[in-house]
Amino acid sequence: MSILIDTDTRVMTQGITGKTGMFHTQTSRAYANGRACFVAGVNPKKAGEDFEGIPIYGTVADAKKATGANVSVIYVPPPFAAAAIDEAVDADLDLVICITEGIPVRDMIRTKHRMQGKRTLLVGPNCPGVITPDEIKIGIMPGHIHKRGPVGSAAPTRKRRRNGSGST
Amino acid sequence: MKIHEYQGKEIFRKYGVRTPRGFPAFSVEEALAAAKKLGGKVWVVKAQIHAGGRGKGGGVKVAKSLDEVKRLARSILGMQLKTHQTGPQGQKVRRLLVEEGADIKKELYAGMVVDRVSQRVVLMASSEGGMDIEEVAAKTPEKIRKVTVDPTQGLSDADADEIALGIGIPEASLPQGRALFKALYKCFDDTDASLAEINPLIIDAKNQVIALDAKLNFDDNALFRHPEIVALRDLDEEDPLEIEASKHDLNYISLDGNIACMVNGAGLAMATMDTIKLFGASPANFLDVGGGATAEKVTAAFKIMLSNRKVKAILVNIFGGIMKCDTIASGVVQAAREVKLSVPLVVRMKGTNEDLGKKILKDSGLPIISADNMADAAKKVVAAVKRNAARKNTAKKTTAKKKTAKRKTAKRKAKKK
Repeated sequence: MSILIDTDTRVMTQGITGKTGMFHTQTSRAYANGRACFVAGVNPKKAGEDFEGIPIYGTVADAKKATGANVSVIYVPPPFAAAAIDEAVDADLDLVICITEGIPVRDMIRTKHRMQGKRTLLVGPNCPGVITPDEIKIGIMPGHIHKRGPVGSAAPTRKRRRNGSGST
Repeated sequence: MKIHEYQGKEIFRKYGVRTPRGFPAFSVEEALAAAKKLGGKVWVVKAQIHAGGRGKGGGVKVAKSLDEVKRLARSILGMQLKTHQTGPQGQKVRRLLVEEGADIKKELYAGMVVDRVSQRVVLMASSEGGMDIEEVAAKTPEKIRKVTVDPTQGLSDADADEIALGIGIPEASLPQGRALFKALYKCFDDTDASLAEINPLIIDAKNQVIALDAKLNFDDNALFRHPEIVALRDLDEEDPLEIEASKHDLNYISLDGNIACMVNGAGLAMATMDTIKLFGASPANFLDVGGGATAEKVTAAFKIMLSNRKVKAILVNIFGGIMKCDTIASGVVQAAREVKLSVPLVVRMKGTNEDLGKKILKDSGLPIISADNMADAAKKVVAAVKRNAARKNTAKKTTAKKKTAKRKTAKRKAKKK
């Protein structure tokens, strides 16, 4: 989806130090221009540390200020994920991609309400991510099944979305 | 998660939603004791199962003497209560609610759900209480009033009043109606409910607004912050296969067809079920093995699918992304051996290590039917079911023919004698 992300996109990962966050940051970073695109991690308890060379900041605002990241991907566990989205929205990011599955509906009702009139676009929660083939992959989908083409696609379930990527 | 009516009413009372007095009972003796404790002359004996439509099914009865309470409790406890929501086999009644009788002047309806379009909680109410609300919605949609609730403000007095007046709550009862709707919203929000339904909501002879029924469902994803609600879970009311599946972290739902399917990913699982339907058969279940399926998990999935006696064939549809096809193939082979598979098995796999996976299936020597794409897989599994059914029919006919032949010979022999 090159209208959303491309080689110039700079990404921060919220929940970079969890098992899922670490694994998918590694695979996303290994895809195409990933090494240049993934520039920051966020964890309120681990500010000042790093994950394989990616600096970790205490808040989304700090990470944005220090690295210029304009997109966030969220792997924070369900009880805290809605608050993580709120933080990214408050920091005026362009795009927030929330991978987390199983966020309570009540939390999302409040988050969606808070987002009214804000500039941030939310993809997810409970989504596999967003990819622009051969440029950048943000999320948990395998990179090699996607091919470049002139049409972007988006759909409401994980595997139906991957039409043309060989899954269905 | 679902709970019983009596549990729902206990929660309602905490929030100030008025309900009749009543006590749960697990035996005839307890039912009688409950009626004595309540006093009065009229009691209602209500079967407690999670399905709706209990009144029509004969699970809700009025008693006018203590003897009648006893007699009704005895007949309802242990019965297989059949309603439009239980399926033809019904659900066994293990618990009762004994309540004081109510003097009903008017029956109304109130319900609360999360509306996915407005992304808010919506309060729905109707003057047509006591009946199937889906029917009211279909036939007389104008009789259903709705209001969406602002998540930061809660239900406002004005909105509550508008609904109350709109469904014919009399002026004299308006403060009570308003309080009830506001309490219902507070309860819904606090407990992370996904559905709250009062059918009927009544106005009694004293103009009181009372919840005669209580149906509450909760958001499973929010149960981590409600241990008090988790404690209300009644495993007797759940599908044993679904309970077993949840132990293995499998997403399984029983359906009424005869083709079992095991798929990775909910979206692909739905597409697979659609494809089975497209080729004229029906799925026996929905089963999503998830992203991190192991051989053990696949074996558990096979056992669960096969404990459904209706299953005549299995379709495995795997897309290997992060999950590798060879891992799944080994799991399938191990599972098929362990459960001594006796129904046709069609496997379609695509993606990472696809060739290796296919080779494992082929080398196993098991009669696994391999398919190239989803349509091919669905066609093959439907054909396998039909072929088996046809074979069984021929077998029956042949046995029948043999029997007739035998009878004829026997007759001939008898004649000779």
